[in-house]
Amino acid sequence: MAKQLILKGCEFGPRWLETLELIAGTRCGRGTTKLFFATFVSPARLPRIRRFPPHLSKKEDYWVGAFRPEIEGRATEFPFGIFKSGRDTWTAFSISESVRTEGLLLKLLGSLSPDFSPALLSSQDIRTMFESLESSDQGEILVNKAVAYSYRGEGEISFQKKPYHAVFNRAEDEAMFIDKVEFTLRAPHLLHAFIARRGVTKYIAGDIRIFLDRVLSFVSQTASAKHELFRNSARRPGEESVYQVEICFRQPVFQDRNDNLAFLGALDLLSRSGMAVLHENPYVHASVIDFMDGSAFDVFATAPSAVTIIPQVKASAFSLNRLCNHIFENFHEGIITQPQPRRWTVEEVLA
Amino acid sequence: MPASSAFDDCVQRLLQAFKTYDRTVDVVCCWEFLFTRASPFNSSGLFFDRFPRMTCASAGETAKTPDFAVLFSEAYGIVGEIKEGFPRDEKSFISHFERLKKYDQPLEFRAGPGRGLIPAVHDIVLIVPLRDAQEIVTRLEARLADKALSFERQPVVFEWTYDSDASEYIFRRVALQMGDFRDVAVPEAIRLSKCFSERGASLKITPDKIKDLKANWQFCNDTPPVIYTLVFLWTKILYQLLNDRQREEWRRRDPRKAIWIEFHLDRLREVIEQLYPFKWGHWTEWNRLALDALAQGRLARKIGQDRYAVGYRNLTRELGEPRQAGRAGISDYARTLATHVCSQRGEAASEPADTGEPRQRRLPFDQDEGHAGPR
Repeated sequence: MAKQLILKGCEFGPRWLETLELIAGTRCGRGTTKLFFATFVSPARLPRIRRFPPHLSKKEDYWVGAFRPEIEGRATEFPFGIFKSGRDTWTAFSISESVRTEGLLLKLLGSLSPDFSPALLSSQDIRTMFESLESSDQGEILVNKAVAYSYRGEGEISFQKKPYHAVFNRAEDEAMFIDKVEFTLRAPHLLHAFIARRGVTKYIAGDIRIFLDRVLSFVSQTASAKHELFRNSARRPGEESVYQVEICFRQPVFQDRNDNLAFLGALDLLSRSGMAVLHENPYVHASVIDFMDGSAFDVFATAPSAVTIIPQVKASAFSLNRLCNHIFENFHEGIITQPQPRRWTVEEVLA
Repeated sequence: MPASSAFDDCVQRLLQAFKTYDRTVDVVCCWEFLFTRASPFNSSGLFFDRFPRMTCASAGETAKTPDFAVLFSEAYGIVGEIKEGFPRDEKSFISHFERLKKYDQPLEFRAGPGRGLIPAVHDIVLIVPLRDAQEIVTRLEARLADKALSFERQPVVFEWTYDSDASEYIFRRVALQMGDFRDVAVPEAIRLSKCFSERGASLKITPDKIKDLKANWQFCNDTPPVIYTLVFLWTKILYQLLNDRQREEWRRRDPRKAIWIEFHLDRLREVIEQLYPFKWGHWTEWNRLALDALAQGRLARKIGQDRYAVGYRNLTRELGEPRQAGRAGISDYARTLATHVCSQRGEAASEPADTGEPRQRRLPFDQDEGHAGPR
């Protein structure tokens, strides 16, 4: 049976920061108890959050709720808190002793998509977080355990006890993406924590402030920045202009027709979506619809090292995020940018 | 011809029309890029009309709809027409060129939103694939010489090809022709005769440059083949006709299960024109053609005059769908829609009208393709 420390309402103090510090100080660092965090993106304002099922009750600067799943025939209550962690981002937290209860909270949040979508991180995002943590705290970061997958789901590697850059370098060399990392920050501060692509973080032991300021806030800021970029990219109804989102790869990934087909094959794997191939070779143009919310995209591969996504009318930031992450996990990871308009001269096209 | 062969031919024919139309869209985008994005053309005050509907002075004549038109000034304009080729038969060859004569008269160009203008001079630009271009020009010049054909505005013939090594579309004026731009009234920097005839330059456009134009406009001025329209409707429009309850339903359950949407063509046209600002006025006709084909493929039913019910869902590769070389396992709505449309051709007369929901059918022709799996 899954073990879960049941907090009574009084243990959720009036402010989320104090609550987390109290829990970290009294419950964590011993045994298997962790603080579990799931950061997700939603432009929802307070009234919307109040309707969050199950019913949430207001504290001073956050909300608390509980879900009551039946586990082995018995209804068990799991309390959790939610606070606004950044611009358009929210973080839910609970005390956990097993991945099963973490999964229940994630399932609850997942059922609210596309209104709430997970803060999806790339390997590069996670690496950047480590680089920032390393430079600001002058400590050594050791990966206790990490899991990486190949882009086409053909295999996975688990890493044990290595410096973080060695883990990321090897994953990159072997065309894999990092899915989750449990790590330790050593001297002058100590932190034992966990981070995963789907915006999930865990505080296990050590300095909770370092965790909140450097790990959790990084996830929130990264998700906010991406959401902002995606939110402004949808085509406005009736407007004669479109906006591009580009995924730039480190190396050329479109060399011949086989690469085009590999890309189309990857797009085809996006769940609850459909695709029409307008152009397959020498360049790729596909029209994609996401049945989660009807978002439509024109996807182009016209350069060796980039993919361009052009969201059509009413395409959502949630869906664009989902599509980019899908490309990262099933084709190649890259950097998401919004290309600036270019000026062309006639000499560049008439020769 | 065995049934499977007729079915495969039908699918191939529909997909070939789809591909040809898509290529024409690309070609129009390349010229649009030159005139609207490349300096100094883009700052010269010219107007590029992607969906021209040109009236002429002669009473009773219908509006002319070339593939594009460019008004440089009150003094000059060009009309662009893209052709896949010309017939070998001489009589048909002449007759095809005769059709271009509809542009060989004073035409009113669009000069901006709601403004029209008849330029003093305009030329006709004919764009054909490289493989036949020189032969077409040679034959055209011969027919002009023996007076079998005559033009006041002789078409300026361009050839186009896609250079796979350089990954670019290339357009150049075909050699050994008399047709040329009569654009002396245009500033020298944007004079096409200067660029393409005197300098002998080629227009070279990489697909990278036209992707936003293509995603923006989607179509060109020709009537699209039914599969092209259907792909547009299926990926960009039909979802917008679902109500909140239906959308919520799809978030929770398998989107491969059809939701029936009923609408009148006027409603469909309204939605398209509200969302996508292109090609006004033709949507009713284009949609009717496409939805009639969809009804033939039993993914829709005609339920009244210009009223349809569409069984909208996430289409997956059908059992029996003809495979495409090298594309095993990749779903493609264009191919799946073509498969549906063709699967019922020739059977419609003998079968009762389908009143049920669209079904995942096992087609009789190809037994070895598995289902694409849950999506």
